[in-house]
Amino acid sequence: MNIDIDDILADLDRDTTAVDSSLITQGHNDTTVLGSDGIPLNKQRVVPAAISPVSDFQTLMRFWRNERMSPELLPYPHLLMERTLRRIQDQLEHIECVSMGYLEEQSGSAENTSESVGSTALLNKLPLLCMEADLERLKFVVRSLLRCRLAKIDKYSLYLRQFDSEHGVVPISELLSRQELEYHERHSAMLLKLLNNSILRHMPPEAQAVDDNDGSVKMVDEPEWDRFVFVYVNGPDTKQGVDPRLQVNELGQQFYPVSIQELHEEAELALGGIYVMRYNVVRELVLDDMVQLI
Amino acid sequence: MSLPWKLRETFSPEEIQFMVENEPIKIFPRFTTKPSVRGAARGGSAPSAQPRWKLLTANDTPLNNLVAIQTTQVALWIALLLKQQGKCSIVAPEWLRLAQLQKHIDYELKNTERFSDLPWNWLVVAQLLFSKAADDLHDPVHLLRGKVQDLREIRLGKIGQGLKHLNESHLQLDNLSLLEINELRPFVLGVMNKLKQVHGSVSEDQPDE
Repeated sequence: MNIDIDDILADLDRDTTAVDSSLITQGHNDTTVLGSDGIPLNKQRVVPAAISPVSDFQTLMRFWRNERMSPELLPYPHLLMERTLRRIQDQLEHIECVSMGYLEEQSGSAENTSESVGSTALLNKLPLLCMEADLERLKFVVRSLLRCRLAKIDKYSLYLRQFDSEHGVVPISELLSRQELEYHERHSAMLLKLLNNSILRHMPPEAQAVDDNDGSVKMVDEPEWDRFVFVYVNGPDTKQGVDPRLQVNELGQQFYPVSIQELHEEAELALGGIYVMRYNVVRELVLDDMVQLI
Repeated sequence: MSLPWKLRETFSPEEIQFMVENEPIKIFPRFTTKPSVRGAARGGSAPSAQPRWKLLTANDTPLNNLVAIQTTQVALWIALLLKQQGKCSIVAPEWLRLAQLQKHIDYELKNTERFSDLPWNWLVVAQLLFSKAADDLHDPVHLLRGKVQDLREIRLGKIGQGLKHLNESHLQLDNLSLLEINELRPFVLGVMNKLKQVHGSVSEDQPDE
């Protein structure tokens, strides 16, 4: 007789991990000299397990990759960026403090000559080296992400200008950060001024608009919604039963059914598969983090 | 514009390497950072003065508890950094053995329709370990290099075959690694986008096509 005790074991497992993680976070809090977790307390209470520097970095990486590959401008992750920027600032100060400490320590270690100074100095420097490299890596991602967004803002500036009035789906303050909004407004004003002064004022009045969509060629550059992208189907985070869109095919694989409207075709996105798809087909799934652009 | 033209539609190989470097890998550290209980009890001030690892992008708890010659998992970029200083040796992943690679090669040769399930970062990891941690691998590097090259060429051949099937609806490419996708990307996407445009203009002319 076989008794299936997997669920009981899983219960026990969960218990021990809960204890462990609380110990770890406690230890972590001890080491953070500057109280630099960067998490407002109320948010920590709402989602206690989800927010940590590491998970935030992973989310940031995913967002960076999505942003780089998607044809449209994705909504700005306000909270995530706020936390990340705060952590960068704190870490900068932390590194500064630690490196100041080294100066004192070295004068101290010269006195007790028991150990070989060279190797211990290297060992002491290693964490500092790593922390600096780590910070540089994080800053690189942030920089690259923001530059990519700025390039898209440049490209779609006319499209974004008509965003507020016609498409009421996402307010523009949600889509852009405050600085990006400012960049967008001032940059398009400058560009407009240049065009107006150099060419447009010599045109007949009916041809002076820069966002004329009624002519033979549309002047407002919309994102290419049906551009092809590579996607990786990673599925929902934890329990797979939760997502109602997920279905099971005859091979027992879980997949998302999607339909390509232009061709009247149905397609299956199996979990763990890599596909080349039109962006508008997978857009919903990308925004819900069920698939990732690669 | 603010993003170089070359990076507009794709990633650079260096950025692919950057992503791969965030993955965990096993190492044998050659030094100990774990604070000993005895030392902490004796001098209260000593452990707090000890520089601790505090990282933002990677999990720092294993780094604070390194014990020499006990395997731990750290991010690949930390492993490479430590390796450079001669402070650890890297444990090569399971699939980077001659026997495993041979199995993958056999699978690739047998199944001409699909790719074997190598990890998504195999090319980059192999290249990094060959160049930076060649002395830690179990098998002679030149043999491993040969096998990896074989795998690479077999898969390239299949990719070339697969390009015949480019179409305007979609494509499935399971188990293709990120680097392989990245070098395919501009070509595949460009061709498929054009095919889509052609198809669109054709079906506009004759709606019941």
